[in-house]
Amino acid sequence: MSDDRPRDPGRSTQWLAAVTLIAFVATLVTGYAVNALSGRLRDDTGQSLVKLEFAGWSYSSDKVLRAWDERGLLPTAIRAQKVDFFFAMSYGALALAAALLVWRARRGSRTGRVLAGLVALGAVAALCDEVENLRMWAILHGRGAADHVLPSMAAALKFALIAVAGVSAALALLLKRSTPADTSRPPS
Amino acid sequence: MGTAPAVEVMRRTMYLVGTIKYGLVFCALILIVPLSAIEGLPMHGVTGNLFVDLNGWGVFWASMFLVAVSWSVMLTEGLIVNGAAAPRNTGAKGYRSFRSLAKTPGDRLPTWAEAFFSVPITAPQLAFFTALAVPGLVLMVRHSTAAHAWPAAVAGILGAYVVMLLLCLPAALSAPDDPPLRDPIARWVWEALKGGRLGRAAGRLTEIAARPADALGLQFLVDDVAGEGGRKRLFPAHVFALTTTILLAVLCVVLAVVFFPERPSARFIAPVVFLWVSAMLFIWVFGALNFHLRRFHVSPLLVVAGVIVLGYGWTDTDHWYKVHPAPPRTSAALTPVDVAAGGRPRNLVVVASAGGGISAGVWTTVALEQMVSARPTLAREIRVLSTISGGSVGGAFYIDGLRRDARYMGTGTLTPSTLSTIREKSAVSSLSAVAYGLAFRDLTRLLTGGVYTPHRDRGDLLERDWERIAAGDVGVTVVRGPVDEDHPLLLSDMSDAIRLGRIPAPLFGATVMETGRRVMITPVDFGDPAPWRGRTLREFLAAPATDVTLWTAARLSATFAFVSPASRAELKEGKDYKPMDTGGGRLHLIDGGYYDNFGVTSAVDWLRSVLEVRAAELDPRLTFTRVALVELRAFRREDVVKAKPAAGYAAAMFGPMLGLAAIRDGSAAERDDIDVARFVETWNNRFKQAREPICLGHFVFEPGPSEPPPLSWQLSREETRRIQASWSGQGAIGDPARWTGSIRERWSELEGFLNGACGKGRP
Repeated sequence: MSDDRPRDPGRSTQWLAAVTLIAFVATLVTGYAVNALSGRLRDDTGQSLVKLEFAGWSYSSDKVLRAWDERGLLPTAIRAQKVDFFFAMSYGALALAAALLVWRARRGSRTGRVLAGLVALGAVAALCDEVENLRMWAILHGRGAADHVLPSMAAALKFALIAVAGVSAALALLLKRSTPADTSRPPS
Repeated sequence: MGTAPAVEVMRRTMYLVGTIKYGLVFCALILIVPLSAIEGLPMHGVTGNLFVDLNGWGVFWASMFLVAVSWSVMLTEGLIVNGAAAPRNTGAKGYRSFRSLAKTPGDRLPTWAEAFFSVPITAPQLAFFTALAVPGLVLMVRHSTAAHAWPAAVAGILGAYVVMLLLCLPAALSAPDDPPLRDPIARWVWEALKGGRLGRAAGRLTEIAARPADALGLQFLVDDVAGEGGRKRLFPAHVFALTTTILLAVLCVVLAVVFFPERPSARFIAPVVFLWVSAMLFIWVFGALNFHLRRFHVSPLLVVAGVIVLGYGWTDTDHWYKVHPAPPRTSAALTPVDVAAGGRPRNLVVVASAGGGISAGVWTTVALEQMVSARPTLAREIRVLSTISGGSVGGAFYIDGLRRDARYMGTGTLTPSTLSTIREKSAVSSLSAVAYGLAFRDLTRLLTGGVYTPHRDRGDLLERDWERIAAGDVGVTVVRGPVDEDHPLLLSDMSDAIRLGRIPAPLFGATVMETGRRVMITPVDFGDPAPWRGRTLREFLAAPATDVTLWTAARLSATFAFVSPASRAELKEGKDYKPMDTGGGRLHLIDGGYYDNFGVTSAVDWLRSVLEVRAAELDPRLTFTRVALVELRAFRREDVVKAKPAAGYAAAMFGPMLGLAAIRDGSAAERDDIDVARFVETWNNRFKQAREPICLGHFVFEPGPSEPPPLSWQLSREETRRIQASWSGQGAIGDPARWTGSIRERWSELEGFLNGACGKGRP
């Protein structure tokens, strides 16, 4: 490659954009699939995946599973659960990429570091989700039906962390940056 | 963006969304359509089976074209974003080089997006758009029948990449400093090939291409000074677009010729490839319109709609079904009484088969196979098949199969393999013919406003495919046979066999698109029109001496929305076909399911014609004492109480449309139930009062609760197995003891009724 040829501008930025967009699209796609499959369960039986997630506290998992089984919807629930593994991976990756974006956009500022850390909690939420998914997988396959507390706790923690990460991402977008550097134009 | 506040971020982001809005829609389709392969997701019944059960070649081609579609979006949107990033002053060029994009970003798009989405294509951009195809690739491989599906998919992707490199070659060699593709492999290739004779030829190509652009006033596509010796040249990225469009057109022609459904080579390609090819064609045409019309702030959608409306009006383009002159009669017209008297059966059985795509077709043939195997005399007791949509296709395979059984036609005893052969043929996919017709015939016809009007459309190809399947042999798979062009099987050709009681008379239901009335396509002549019955096709066309083939009749009844086109009549005159202007010849026929998806209305029309004669004892040939109306429904009719409530906003905004759509199913179901109950009750009372030993019964066979079967013209192996399993356990052909619970109960009632116990249905 000759030296006078222009190098791709901000190659790492471009790759970060690609990774973020891929994670974003994957989150949308897997979220759409989980929601549609879970919607079938909810519409046909009144029992959703979320109800099974919280079966340790409020609902009877037997009641939920029986309702699905009677309508021949257990395979649909298992399918939804399978996609949920990928959904958690996707939004976990998205949270990490978003945290990196926040950190880069607010490089050097304390607020930036804090916000990036909070946004990265989305990845911790994804880990909780995967733990919960493993337990749910076992329950759906008729194993470990007695242990509903772990998935319920993991689900509660997950939702809390997602809320924190979401609010932090919104703040990172809305709060004016303190450093006045204009990064829209490359340095001369 | 630096210190840009949230508002500025929002402004630029919205401008980006506005610029690539059509690309976003295409991306959503690339992602969501393959997801329908997952059972339980929306559209699974319509498009899901396009992506399952692909063989190795199918996976290879489907992967190649899926990635090519995704990259087509990348390239067309790349050109649009590049053009949008250019300054807006008069005379501004429609292309910015990579160097310009890098050094002086515009002020309308987010900086990262301007570089990320624009042509030239960078490695991250290529990675992102390839990732869009991943869900489709994973699902196709996962549901493939091939042992080595992943290598086939990878080979497909590599093949697509090589083709893209070749397409980029002229542009890359003519402008080595600004090639349209900049990923590491491409850059290595450009470096290896730059200069030399190839480079000069490519440069010359860009200069030649600049002339028509210049002449057409498209100066914004022309680089005024960059050519050799300061000659004008087309911007390299637009050279690339030009070469791609030309190659795509050539590719379409080659694919259309090589993979024509009636060629042996067609088995190497999967129907989904045709879907992707048509998507590519649309993306490039639409992308070009979008790029050029943006400068004038004209919507490409408006232009496409204008071309279609004006073009179709100007060229009088339409879709047609073929009507033949009826052959000279050797006997009297086939009346409803002739049909009922055929074989002098003691029991008169009328089968009404509901619509529902290929699932309904297979449910019909599975039901008939099981019931006739359990009670062989039923083959002759069934005097009428009143069918709708997919049920019509199953019914057509059943009638055709009986006709092909020489032993049965001669002696009335079925050959053991006849019914299983009929069932297997009815389960063969016809999606390839439809997808081919859509991609290479009807989409091009639509986009050219009817200027290009091919001889056969997708409806014609579909009915020919059914005819070839019916004429084929059943082995490990069904091998299609030839179409008999010289002696098509007309409905009236079956009159003698119907009169003899060997085959039932078909009543294929269709709907007139313009009036919403129904039409019965049948060889039966009902005599003088009466206000209490629907019209036959001959009455509708006001052409008594006309006829259609068995497969045209099935297709018209099964004109499932957009899968087959609504069509008008054209009459054979010599070797040509001329549009019919008589009667309803100028009106379009569509699926019979729009009027009555259960086939009951026509069955009742026919029964009334016969029962009036039987009650008055006007014809000594009518000796039956039991009349059974048997309904075959491929889809379980759900309890209306369990209907999912619509959201408030949907009710507020689309309430009337949703209601109209629901009425199609709801009113037909309710009306049929009421009509049949009233009909059975009225006639039972009438015969009872007249002390006639005749009674009527009504029996419904439908599957138990499960995933709804697909509506399209292809079933996966699993779905075929499931439809059979919803009737009986494996291998339990003709053994009612091993049939599923509700089916076994219905059969017990029906058999008891036919054997003389006037049970269910008798008040």
